[in-house]
Amino acid sequence: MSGRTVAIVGGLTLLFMLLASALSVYNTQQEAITLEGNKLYSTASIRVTGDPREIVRKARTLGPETRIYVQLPGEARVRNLLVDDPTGLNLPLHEGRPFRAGEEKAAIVGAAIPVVDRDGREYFEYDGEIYEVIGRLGAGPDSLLAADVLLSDPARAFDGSGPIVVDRVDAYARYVENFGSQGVARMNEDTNRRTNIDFVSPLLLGLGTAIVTAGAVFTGMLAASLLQRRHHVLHLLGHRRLPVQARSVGQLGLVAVMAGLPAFAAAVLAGDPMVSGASVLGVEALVASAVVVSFLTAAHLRRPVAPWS
Amino acid sequence: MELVFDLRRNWLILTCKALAWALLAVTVFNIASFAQSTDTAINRSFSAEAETNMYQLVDRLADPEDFYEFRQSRTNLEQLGAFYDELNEADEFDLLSVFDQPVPVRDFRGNETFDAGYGTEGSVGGPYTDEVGRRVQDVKAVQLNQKAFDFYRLAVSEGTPPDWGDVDYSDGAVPVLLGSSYAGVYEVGDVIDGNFYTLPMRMQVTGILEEEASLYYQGEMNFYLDHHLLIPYPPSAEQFAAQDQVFYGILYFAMVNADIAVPRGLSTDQVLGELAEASDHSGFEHYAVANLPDYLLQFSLVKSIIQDNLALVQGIGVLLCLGVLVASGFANAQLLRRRQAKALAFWRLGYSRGAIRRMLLLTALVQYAAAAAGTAVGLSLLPQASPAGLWSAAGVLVLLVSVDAAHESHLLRRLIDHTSGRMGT
Amino acid sequence: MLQLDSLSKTVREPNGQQRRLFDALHMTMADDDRSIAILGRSGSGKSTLLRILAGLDGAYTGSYFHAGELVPQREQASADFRMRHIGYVTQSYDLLEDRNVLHNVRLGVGPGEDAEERASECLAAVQLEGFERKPVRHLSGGEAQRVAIARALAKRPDVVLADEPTGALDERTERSILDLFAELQRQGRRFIIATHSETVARACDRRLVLADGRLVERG
Repeated sequence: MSGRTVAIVGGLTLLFMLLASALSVYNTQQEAITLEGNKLYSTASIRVTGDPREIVRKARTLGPETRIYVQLPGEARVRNLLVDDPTGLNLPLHEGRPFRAGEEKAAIVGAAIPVVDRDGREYFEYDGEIYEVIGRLGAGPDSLLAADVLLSDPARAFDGSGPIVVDRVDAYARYVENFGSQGVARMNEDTNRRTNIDFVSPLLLGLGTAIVTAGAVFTGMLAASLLQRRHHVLHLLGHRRLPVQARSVGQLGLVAVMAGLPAFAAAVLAGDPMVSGASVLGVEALVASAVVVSFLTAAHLRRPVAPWS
Repeated sequence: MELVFDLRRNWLILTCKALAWALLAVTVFNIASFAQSTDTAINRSFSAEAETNMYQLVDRLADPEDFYEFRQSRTNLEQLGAFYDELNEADEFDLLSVFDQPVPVRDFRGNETFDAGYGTEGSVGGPYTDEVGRRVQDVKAVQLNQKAFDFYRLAVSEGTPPDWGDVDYSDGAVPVLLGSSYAGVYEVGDVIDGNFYTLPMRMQVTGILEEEASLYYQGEMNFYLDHHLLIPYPPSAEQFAAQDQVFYGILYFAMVNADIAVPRGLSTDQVLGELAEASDHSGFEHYAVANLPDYLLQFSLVKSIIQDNLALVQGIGVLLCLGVLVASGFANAQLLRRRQAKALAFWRLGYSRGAIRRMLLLTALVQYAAAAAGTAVGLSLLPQASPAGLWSAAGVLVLLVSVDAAHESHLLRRLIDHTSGRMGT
Repeated sequence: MLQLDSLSKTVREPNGQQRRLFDALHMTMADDDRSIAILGRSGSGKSTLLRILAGLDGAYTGSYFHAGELVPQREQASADFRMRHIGYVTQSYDLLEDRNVLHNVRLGVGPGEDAEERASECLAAVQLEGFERKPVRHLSGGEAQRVAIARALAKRPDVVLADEPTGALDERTERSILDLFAELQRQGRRFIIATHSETVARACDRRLVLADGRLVERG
C-alpha cells in the first residue's frame, strides 16, 4: 500500500471511526441523561402494583436484561436493582463503575448520600447491613439523583414497599402479554417528554449510523479502487489473487488499527465512567469490518471479466 | 454527452455523496426541530420568571378532630377565606394553589389510564356504582387557581382557558380544562357530570391543554397533566351559602395549602412578614411555612438536562457535518483522479478552464439535485413540521454546494496548473 | 519448452457475434529457440495468444504444454505456473506509477531471493543503474519499458513474453530496446514477442505470422 493510499484510506477510516465512536458516546450519554431525568427509568418502564414476590418472579421471566426496581422501606430514596445482565444499562455515573452481572452487596449512591469510609473503601449502610459503594450516581455531584441510592442485593428482592418498576424494551407489551394488565401502568414523569428528543434521538442515531456505514462502505470501495492496479500487476506477475487480497486485507486491518487508536486513547484517557474503551473498540471493529467487507466485495466485482468465468 | 459518460463512470461516488448529503440535511432538520422543541420547553416551563424561591404553605390542623371542629365555624372559614384572598392578591409573590384530588365522573368515556389509581401506589378502581345507583369512575383531577395556571404557563391547544373571574360553584356548574390525552374522548363544549367534593357539578369543557403540560407539585417537577381534569378555583374565597359550609370548609383548606413562588430578591423574613400580616388581617393563624429548596434545584437540574440534551445533539450534528464535508472532499479528490485524463485531454485540446469546470459542474449539478430530491423525500417521511428545520436543512445544502463547488474548482485548477507547470519545463 | 497443440478459442465480438480467433493452432518453442516474433494484423489475436501463453487466459480448447507438462487452465494454478516460469511485459507496461523504480522491480522477484539485491541486478541488466529511487511517473517511455523488462526478468523466468514492446517508442529508443533483448538473449534469456514491427521481427530468431486463426512460420 503506498503512502498516499494509506493516507486516504487511513484518513477516511479514522474519520468514520471517530464519528462512530462519537455516536456511541452520544447514545450512552443520551441514555444516561434520559435516566437521570426520569429517576433512572427508561421511557419504556412500567409501574406494577400487587404482591412484590409475584411481580418480581414474573418480571424475571421477561429476560436477563429486565431491570426490576424495588423501592425499599425508609425515608431515603433507596431502591434495590435486580438485573441479571446489566451490560445494556447506561446508568448516569460521575465516578466509579456500574454494577457487574451477579454482583451483590454493592451500592451506587448520589453525592448527597452519607457513606462510611473503611480501609479506603466507602460503604453505605442500610437496615443494619453495609454495601460497598462502587459508583456515584448522576452526571455530576449536583444531580437529580444526588439523594438516590441503588443497591444490588438479591436477598432483598421481595422487601419492596409500594409499586415495583419493571424496565426493559417493550416492557408494557411484554408484561401485559404474559401476565395481563392488572396493576400495570406506564410511567409518566419523564423529563424527555418536554421535548421531542425521544423522537429525534433515535432518528439522529439512525441517520448518523447510515452516514457512517455509507462512509465505511465507500472507504472500502475506494481502497479497492486504489489497490486495483497493484492487484492487477501482481496477478500479471503470477501472484494468486487470494493471497494478494488477504495481504491487502491485512494491511487494511493494520491501517484500521492505527486509525482506531485516537478514539480509543481518547476514551481511555477521558476516564469517564460512562465511556469505556471496550465499547469504543467494539464500534471501531464494526466500522473496520464494514470497510473490509466492502473492500472485498468491490475487489471481487472489480476483477476484469475473466475468461474462466 | 460528456455528462452521460461522466455519470456512467462515476455514478457510485456521486450517489454516495448525494446520499450522505441528503442524510445530513435530514439530520440537520431534526436537530433544528429539536432545538425548537427545546426552546418551547424552556420558554414554557423554565423561563426566568419561573426561577423563583419556593415556599410551601400548609395548615396546622393535622388532627382530624381539630380540622372538623374548625370547619364547624363559619367565622373560621371566613377568616381562612380572607387569608387566602389576601395572599392570592399579594403583588410580592404568587400563591400557587394546586391540589391533586380525584373526581368521580358519571358514565366516564375514557379508559383506565385516566383512572385515579392508574400509575399510583393504589390500584385502578375502575367504574363502580355510587350510592344512588349511577355508574361512576374516579378520575385524575387537579384543582388550581389562576396564579398557578399563569405561573406554569399552562395553555390550551383547543378551546379557551376558563374565564377565571366568572368561576362560581354556587350554581352547580364549572368550566373545566382537560389534559391533552382527553382529545378524542371528550370535546370542547361537552358537559361532564361529576362530583366536586360533596357537590354534584356539571363540568363544561372549555378547552384541551397543550401536550405535555406540567407543573411542580409536591416536590415533583415533572408532574404532567395529560390525563388530568383541571378544575379552576374561584377568584376569591369570600362568600358561600350556609348549606354549602361543608363543601367550602374542605375547599378553602385545599386552596390554602399552596406553594408560594417568591422572586429571588425577596428574603425569607419578608415572606414570613407578608404571611404574618395576612394572618393578622384575616385572623387565621393555623398555618406553617416551609422553604422548598428542592424546587430551584429541580428547576435548574431538569432545565440543564434539557439543555444538556440539546448540547449533545448539536455536538453530534456538528461532528456529522464535519464528517460529511471531509468525506465529500475525499470523494472529490477521487472523482478528479478518475476525470484527470479527460480534463487534461480537453485542456490540451484548447478548452478553457471555465469550459472544463462548467463541464464537470454539470455532473455536480445532477448530484446536487439528487441530494435535494433525497432530502425532500426524507423530510416528507418525517411527521414533524418545523419551518426552522426546513431553513436549516436548506442552509446546510447550500453550504455543502458552495464548499463542494469551490473545492472541485480548486482541485481542477491545481491539476491544470500542475500540468501547465510540468509542460513548461 | 512451450508447445501449443490444436489450440482453439472463440471470442465474442462487440456486436455480440462469436468469432473463432484460433482454430486448431499449433506452436512450439524448442529449448534452443532464443526468440520468436509473433506477427499479425491488429485484431488477429497476438495479445490473446500471449495471454494464453502467460496463463492469463484459460478459456480455450486444446492443449498447452510447458516442458512436457500440461499447463493448468484454472486461475489459481495457472498463476502459480506464471509465477514460476513466465515473465510478462504488457503493452502498457503496467507499472505502479506512484512507486519508485526499485519497488516496481522488486514486485517481480520470486520467492526465496533477496528482493532488493535481485532487483538491482535486473536494473543493471537493463542499464538502469541509479534509477532505483526515481518515481516511475517521471520516467520516459523507453525507461519505463526497461523497468517492465527488468521486472519480468527478476524471477528468472523460462521465457519472457513481450506484447508490442516498442509500439510506443521512437526509432532510437526502439533500437536500444532491441539491443537490450539481444544482449539478454546472449545471457540465456528467451523471448516471445508479439509485434507488428518488421524491425523487431527481424531481430528475432523465428517469426510466426498469425492469420486466420493459425500460426504460419515465416523465413
